[in-house]
Amino acid sequence: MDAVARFAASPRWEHADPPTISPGGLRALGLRTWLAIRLLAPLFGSDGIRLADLTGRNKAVFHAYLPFGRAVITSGLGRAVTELVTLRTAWNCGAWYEFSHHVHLSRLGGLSIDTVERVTEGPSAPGLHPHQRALLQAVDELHATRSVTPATLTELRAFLSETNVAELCLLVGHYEMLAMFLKTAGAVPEPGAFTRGPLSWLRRPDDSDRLAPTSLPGLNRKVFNRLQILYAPFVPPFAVVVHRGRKSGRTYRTPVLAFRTGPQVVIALPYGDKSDWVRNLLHTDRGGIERLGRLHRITKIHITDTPTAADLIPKPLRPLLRLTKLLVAEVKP
Amino acid sequence: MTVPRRILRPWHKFDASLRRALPTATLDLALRRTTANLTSTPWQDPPPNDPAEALLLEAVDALCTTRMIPPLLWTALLPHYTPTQLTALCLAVGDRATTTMLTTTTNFP
Repeated sequence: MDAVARFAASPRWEHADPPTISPGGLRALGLRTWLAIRLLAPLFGSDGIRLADLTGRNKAVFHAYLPFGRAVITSGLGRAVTELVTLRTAWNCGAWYEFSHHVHLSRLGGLSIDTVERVTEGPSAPGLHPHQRALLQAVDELHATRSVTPATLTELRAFLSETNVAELCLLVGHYEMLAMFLKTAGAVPEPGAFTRGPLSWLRRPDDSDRLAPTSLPGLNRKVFNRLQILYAPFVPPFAVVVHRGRKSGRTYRTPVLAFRTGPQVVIALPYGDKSDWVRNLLHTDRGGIERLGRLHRITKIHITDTPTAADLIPKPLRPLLRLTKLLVAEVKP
Repeated sequence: MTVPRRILRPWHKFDASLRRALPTATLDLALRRTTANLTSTPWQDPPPNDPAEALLLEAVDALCTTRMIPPLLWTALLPHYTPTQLTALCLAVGDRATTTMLTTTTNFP
């Protein structure tokens, strides 16, 4: 069972069943909204957008909501924080429609499926960045008491401006507001949403968050790796990972894209974290890396993503690595 | 002022659209009840004589606690309010919750 199916099976979700409001047609929505939905829905792989189908019935409110919603969602908090906060709010409210959409959309903000799982576990989940932990704590407090405690506020102010804190409150409130409506209306994810269409790559059934098609690793192994391995140990940002097969016990060498930051090395995983070499490294929690002509031992290997490992990645590289999972390991001289 | 103007302006317009979507007395009652729920202040108003008002207060309470109007209550509300008005009610309660989050956390007026 993949992570999205596990989330769907959670007993947390609650909504009117059968729906109390039926999706609006051309007459109920008006030509402009109806046409916009018909044009946008194929992008998500569905035949409609329930949020617009339902709220669109009240044209004045819907058209006033759109600029407000857009302003809140595109606030100065950044995409990764916005998605993190949205997911936790939807989880707290038990709004499956909201959560299921943002499980997929959060990939564009850089959140791996593992981080989404940690969001459902809450601020105490291991592996979260301290900033992420403070944000989740703030969301939980806003959900429970509609205010952030002074202690959490102090933590937030260490990395958020006063305006950002206000934007955080607005973001949580906005998604609570939508959850109230969507749960009452009985909105469920549209059939086919994010499982077909141009955005179906956002989450994979194997939870690998890979970017490349499945056929590419095989081709790489046979053709490109044999060429790349000639120069990768000497020309950064390329490097060669040395790992031992977890079944065969043989030693393998795999060319990768790696960045050294202090005592740690960060390796991009465009093929996801289910590749044999990644599983080999995680299985033994040790291996080697050949970089700049020298072989180093690596230990303390774990998988993360760009928002969680933000401090390790130089700012200019973050947009490039946002869509891939990352393997982080400690380099021993 | 902590809320950027690019959010404040559309927010005011959204608020205004919600005000137009429900009768003023109904919306005021719902918002007063929401504020009382969210700030845990005692409810001062006398118990409503009108069954529609009683159901409305029940819906607001449900929205504040479970974040939804249960289907049975929705059905009971339908003779008194249109689905469009109930949609606006959900959004208005959520909007008031947003304001409460902002005012209690920051020094937003």
